[in-house]
Formats: sequence, C-alpha cells, structure tokens
Amino acid sequence: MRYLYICLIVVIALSLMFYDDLNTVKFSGVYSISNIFKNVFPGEDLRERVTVLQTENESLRAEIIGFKINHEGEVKVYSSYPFNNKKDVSISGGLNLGFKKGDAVTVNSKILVGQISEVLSNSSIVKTVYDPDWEIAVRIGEKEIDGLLKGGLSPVIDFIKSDAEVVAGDIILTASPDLPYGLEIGKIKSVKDNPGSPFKTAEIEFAISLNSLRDVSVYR
Amino acid sequence: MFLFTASLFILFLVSLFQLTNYAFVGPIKPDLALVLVIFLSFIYKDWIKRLILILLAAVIFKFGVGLELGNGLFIVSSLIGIITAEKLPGSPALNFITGVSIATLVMNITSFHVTTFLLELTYNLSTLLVYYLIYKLWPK
Repeated sequence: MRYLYICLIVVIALSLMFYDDLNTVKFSGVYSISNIFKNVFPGEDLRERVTVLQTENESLRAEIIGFKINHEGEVKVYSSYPFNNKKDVSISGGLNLGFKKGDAVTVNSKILVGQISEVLSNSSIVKTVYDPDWEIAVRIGEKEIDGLLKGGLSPVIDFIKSDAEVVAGDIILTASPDLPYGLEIGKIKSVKDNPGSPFKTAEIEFAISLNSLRDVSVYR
Repeated sequence: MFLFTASLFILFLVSLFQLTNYAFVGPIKPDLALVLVIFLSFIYKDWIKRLILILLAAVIFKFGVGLELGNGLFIVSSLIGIITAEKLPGSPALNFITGVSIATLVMNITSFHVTTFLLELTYNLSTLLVYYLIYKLWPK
C-alpha cells in the first residue's frame, strides 16, 4: 500500500511540472461547477442577469464617449486565480484562436479587463486590472489628464499633477502603448492632495467586478 | 482506505470550488483547500498521506505551465502549517489556529497587504471552525 501511495505522489508531482492541455480540461470542469451553482442557489440566475445588464450599461456609456474597438468575438471566463496575491483569470481560447501574449482583454470591446500573460493550447491566462502588480498609463476625464494606474484591492492613480482639474466621477481611459487607446477602466472615486508634493493621487472604482466576469472579448 | 479516498475526493471538490468566482467573499478568496489540508493532518498522521493531499490540491490549483510561485507557496505554507500545528506545545485547538495563521502569513509573503492578510486570516480561521464543527457533528 505504501508503494501505491509513493507512486501516487510521483505521478502528481510530475503532473505539477509538465501538463498543459489538462489545464483546459480542469478549467472546463471548474466552469461546469460554476454552472451547477448557478442552478442550485435561488436567485443566482437573476443576479447574473443584473450583472450582465450593468456591464452592458457601462459599455454603452463608454460608447457614448466615442471610442469603439473592433469586436473580435467573445470567449468564456473559466476560472479565477485561487489565491489572493494575484488576480488572474483563465479564459477559453488560446493558440487555437490565435491569441498572443499581450493581447488586450475587454468586456464588449469597450471596458478593459486586463492583458493576456500566458497562452496555452486551448486556454489563456489574463492578468487583470485588479492585480496588485498592474501599472499602466491612463488619461482622466474630458481634459485627458495624465496619470499612472496602480491596480490591487485599493486601486489608485498616481502622478496626477497637483494643479490638474480632476474630480470624482471623471472617466479613466487607457493610454498605454501596449493597449488600444481609449478603453474604459473605471471612474475617479475621490482625489487626495499630497501637501508638498507636485503630484496628487486619486482612488478609483473599476467599471467591472472581477467576481461577475462571464464573457470577455480579446482585441488583437 | 475508504476514509482517505473520501478525503481525497472532498479536497478535490473544495479545490475546484476555490477556482470559481463563487469562492469570493467580497474581494478576497478564503484558502479553503489550505485550511482543509492542515485540518486533515489532525486525522492523518502518516506523512505520505499528507503529501498526497497537499500535492493533489497543488495540481488542481496550477494555473499555467511549468513551476509556479503560487503553487510553491501553497506547498510550503501547507507544510509549515502542519508542522506548526503538530509540534507546538499546548492544546490542539490553539496549535491549529496558530498553524493556519502562520500558513496564511506565508501565503501572503510575496505580496503583503495588511487589509488583504487580515481579511484572509479571518476567513481562514472561520473555515477552520466550520471544518471542525462538521467533523464533530459527523456521525461516527
């Protein structure tokens, strides 16, 4: 019996290092479990419809601002990273759909979710704006004021010039050379002046909730 | 053998659940599998069985190709949590609470934010209590 256990350990340890396509099977299983919970918990279906409507509302508002990106087809969000030190998600679609590392991932091609960080055969890993290590250049409001977005549990925009007119409610758009210009990220929640510093910071509220992501588009 | 197989299956389901968005409590995911692995070390004293449980959860949590820091941290924190819970003097309850607390700290060691850590610790200790209550209430 001991030898059986030792063999089991060796098999599992090798799986830890070498499998790739089994990842897709696992992620599909996770997606199926999510669907089971959707049917078991009362009101879950309704909650998802509300989330979809809220997301559509946000993307329509982004469209009013006037930025449109080519829609490349939607893919499912399989699962989210199991630990709290990263906020990655896995999506259905990888090399089989021509995705590449660095491709922007959006909701309805208008709201930024993140960037593809790893591409597998049939799935991809996306580093999201909620990741504590996420940093990109952004523009704020109608006057397109420059800032640097830092992601995480309490996302902030740093390096806003202290004399810049930034108020709560201003829309935040992408301005990074790695991403399509003008994707909505969220809104300014509050502005904080730093006495003695040439810059001020602002707290932000993301346009989408990581918990409720179901379908995303990949811009290539 | 049956009990161990059942434990493997429960750990498998808990780990898969932790990958879904339903595992979120607000912005934080409790470490359901980490706490379960440490709790099961109370039942299984054989290190080979403990290693199988840890590695099974680590395989399910694997998010990309190759060795991952997250997986490595999970394995290390599980081992540290189990050893802490086993070796400390004092009551088993206090030892397991300390073990889970230290394991949670190690999980956050690469990206430490006080709010995230405290919330995660609260949820993990609550999960430990739930597992203990299920174990106590389960008909023997």
